[in-house]
Amino acid sequence: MEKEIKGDKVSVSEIADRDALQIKIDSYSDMLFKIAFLQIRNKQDAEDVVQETFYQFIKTNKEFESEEHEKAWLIRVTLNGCRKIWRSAWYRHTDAMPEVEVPQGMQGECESGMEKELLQRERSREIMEAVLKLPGKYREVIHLFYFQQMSIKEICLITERRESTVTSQLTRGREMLRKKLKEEYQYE
Amino acid sequence: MNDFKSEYQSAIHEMKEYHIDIADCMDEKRHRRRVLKRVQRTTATAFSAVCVVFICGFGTVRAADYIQNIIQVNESGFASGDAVTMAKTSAEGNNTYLLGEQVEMQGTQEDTLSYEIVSVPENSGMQQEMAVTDAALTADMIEMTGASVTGNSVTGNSVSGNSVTQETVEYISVTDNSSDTNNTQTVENASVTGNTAAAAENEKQEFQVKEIPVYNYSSLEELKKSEDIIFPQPSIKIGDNIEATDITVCGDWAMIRYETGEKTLWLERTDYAGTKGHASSKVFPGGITNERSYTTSQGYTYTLVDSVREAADEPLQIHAAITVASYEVYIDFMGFEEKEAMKIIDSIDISLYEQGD
Repeated sequence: MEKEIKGDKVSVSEIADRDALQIKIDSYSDMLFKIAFLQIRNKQDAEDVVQETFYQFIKTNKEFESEEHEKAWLIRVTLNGCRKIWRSAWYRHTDAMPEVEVPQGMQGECESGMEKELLQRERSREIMEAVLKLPGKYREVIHLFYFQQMSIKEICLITERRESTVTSQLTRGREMLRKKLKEEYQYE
Repeated sequence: MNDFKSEYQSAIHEMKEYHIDIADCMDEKRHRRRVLKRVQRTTATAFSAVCVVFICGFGTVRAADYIQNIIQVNESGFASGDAVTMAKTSAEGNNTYLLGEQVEMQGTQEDTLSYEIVSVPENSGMQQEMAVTDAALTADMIEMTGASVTGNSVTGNSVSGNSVTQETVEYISVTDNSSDTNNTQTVENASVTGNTAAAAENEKQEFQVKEIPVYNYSSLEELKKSEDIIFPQPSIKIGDNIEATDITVCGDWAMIRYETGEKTLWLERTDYAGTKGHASSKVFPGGITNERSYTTSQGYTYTLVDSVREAADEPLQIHAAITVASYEVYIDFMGFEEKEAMKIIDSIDISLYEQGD
């Protein structure tokens, strides 16, 4: 049995595969995009990196031991894709202005009138700016630790760095954030 | 105190959610575009690298051009030097110093001596040398290193002004066929008058005396036997009877003087290949006139000038100068007609200088 999708004749099994794949992509795309964006601070490049990651994911048709393994693989490929861009001489010699993503619904929200919400958003912006200003290696570790809630060991596996390196990068990253942020935060 | 983790997560969650369709993921065009973008970036990087290499290469070429000499004519004679030093010299003003015009000749020679001072602009760190041309090679040659002679004014046969500022000046005494080349000594407060340079009375200066051997020969055969230098000579007869041939070799400088009756021909060449830069001048007493050029059948263009004649019955003196490769060549004709001089110039195969470069 065959169906025509966008001019291509595909089998039902293929459609099923596609649907399954789309679900997988949906579950990871946002996470990967945020990782990529925080690394390269450029929306267009981040999107390209995510697309490239999924392109590799589909092309290689790799079998994973577990979902965690799959997730780790995707994060690693994304980070490697970011490094590829970041390492290029072009990128290094381009003084990129970080495209600070304004939290959703922030623009023109003065009418909400809720001081608390505004303060929260201001804090979020400040944190985002502070994290984006961190050097790449610290930014990476901070994001994986605080957002992905990965353990140091997991970060070591993904970034292929030593535990001591990741620990010291995390510590230094926190110190930098302390200096950058006006408000004091609990980091542990 | 707020918790950073929750604040950070909240900030990240507030970011616009990103969604990508499977069709976009498999979009080969977009993939190719990305690859192309990467290639473009690599190309841009490679191009930048090529530019750097080109600029460095240009610098190398420029460095190679450094020894390319330039000969200019001024009211006193010729000024020559490498392009860079000449440019600096002209930018900083005239740094050529005329030491003496008439110098008493030794022995039977009573010809006019021309003095060359290879002067270097201030603080250039280049070598300065004062070279004495013509046959009177017992005259002293002074070579100054770490050059920074400033504010010297030279009039007549004396050098005035007290601002020789370099700490070390090499004083090179030139003696015939000298075998002692390493003799050095320190002289303080040297003063030079006539064919020597004046120095400040109050300034303490060190003069390192070094002798450059000077070799004299009386025939071309003798020269060829003893010296391995490039010095092409006229291939035509200079005169009916050459009465004397004086050849002098001193370092990179060599001179041949042919005397035939009332005519005298000087050929002089200096090889600047071993120098980092130089500027020199050749001065003729009374000044020069009638600047012109002459291109030989080989395609080399000489710059020619005539000495200013004080009396109508004075013999014509034609001076020719050319720079070939790292060599500077001067030919002085005394008593020759213009046509004769041109024929002699034409007969000298100066392409040999290029072959030996």
